[in-house]
Parts: sequence; C-alpha cells; structure tokens
Amino acid sequence: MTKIYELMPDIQGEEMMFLQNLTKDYDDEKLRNFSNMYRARRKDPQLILLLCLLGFVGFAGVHRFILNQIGMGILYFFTAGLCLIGTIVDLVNYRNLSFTYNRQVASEINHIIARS
Amino acid sequence: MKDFKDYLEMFLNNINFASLNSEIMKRLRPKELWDFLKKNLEGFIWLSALLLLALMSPALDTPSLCVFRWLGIESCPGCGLGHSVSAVFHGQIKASFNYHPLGIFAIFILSIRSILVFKAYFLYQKQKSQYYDQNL
Repeated sequence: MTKIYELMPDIQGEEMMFLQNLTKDYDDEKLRNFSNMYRARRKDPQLILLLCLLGFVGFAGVHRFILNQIGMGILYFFTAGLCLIGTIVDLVNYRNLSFTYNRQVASEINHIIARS
Repeated sequence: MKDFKDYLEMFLNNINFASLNSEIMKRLRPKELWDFLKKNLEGFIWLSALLLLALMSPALDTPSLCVFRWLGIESCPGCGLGHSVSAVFHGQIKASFNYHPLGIFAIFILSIRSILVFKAYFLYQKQKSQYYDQNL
C-alpha cells in the first residue's frame, strides 16, 4: 500500500499531515491520481515569496492574483502594496497564504476523486 | 476596611480548580492562543489597522507615518490612502475621494478578507477535530 509521503516527498510539515488525513482511505490508483492532480494545481510557498518580493520594485500584489484573491490584488497593485505595509505582512505570512490556498485545492480534488 | 491583599486572598480561595480542567480552559492554553494569533495574523492586522484609522483624525495635521517619505521618496501610488479611509469613517466622502479614490474599496476588501481569514481557520479546525474524533 503506497503512502502519500512516498509520492510527494517534497511537501513538509502541517501540509503533509493534512494530506495524510485527507487520503487515508484511498487505494493506490486513487492516491496516484490525487498526487498528480495536486502537484499540478498546488502553489509553491517559495513562488509566493518571490512574487511578494516584487512589491519592493513596484509590482505589488501579483501573488494575490495568483492565489485567486482578485480584490486584494487590485488593491495592492494600485496602492503599492498598501504603502509597503501589506507587502511586509505577506512576507511574514506567505506560508499561511499558500497553505490556505492549497487546502482548498486539495479539498476540491478530494471531492472529484471520491465521486469517481 | 479590606485592602487589595484580602481581595486577592479571597479570590485565590474561591477559585474552583475543577473548572480549570474543563474543556474551555483546555482550549485557552497559551500555546493555542498563540497559534490562533499566528494563523490569523493577517485578519488581526487588517482589523486593527481599520480600527486605528477610524480613531485617527482625517486632517493632514499629524506627522507622517509613511515609510517612503522617511526614505525621501515623495510620490507613491498609495499616497493618502490612510487619510482617505479615515475620512470615510468620519463621514467625509468627498474629502476621501480627494485624498485617494480607493478608500471605500479598501475598507470593503479588507473587511471581507479578514472575515475570510477567520472563516478558513475555523473550517480547518473543524476538519482537524473531526479527524481526531474518528481516530481516537
């Protein structure tokens, strides 16, 4: 019986625990489908961090668009990351932002696979 | 005449230590409070920023808090946003548009975003507790 940490060894910490809880009843084929789909749709925290750093050059809020928060993205873009405060908040908080997004993605994929 | 020390003694004698073990006290341990604060950092920051701006006076009479202005950069696309939000809270819609046109939009988006942050946190806690109930 394959485990999720054998298929996706690059995921760490709380995210891995969440995925283990979510996929504990899966058989091998479902688990393989899940890990393929999740790998394709997941947002890497490092990507979010780097896009967030663009805020110091003048292109703030790209990471918010990537994370599907269009309103926050527009607000950040037209106010230079809420006058740099928002950019610094997101630098501290980038792991939480990406994990929240990835949780939604994982639950969606879980719905798709559990129905099939 | 009772002084503070007597009251403290009465208080310590009357604590029901059985209640310290109740479910509510278990959830209020310092570690979990810190976790709650850390996971919802964004929501707390936006809400406290809106609260401080609501208490601020919208006029341009206080010293500037802008990081860019301290660095010597005079123009920035976000200039006047704080005054704009503050003016909306004081009912001066026209002055708000003169400071920065996105003031109302900022209040709207930030309050929705902080609600969503808390909602996502509580949903995740619910999922976690369901899992532990099934397995313990």
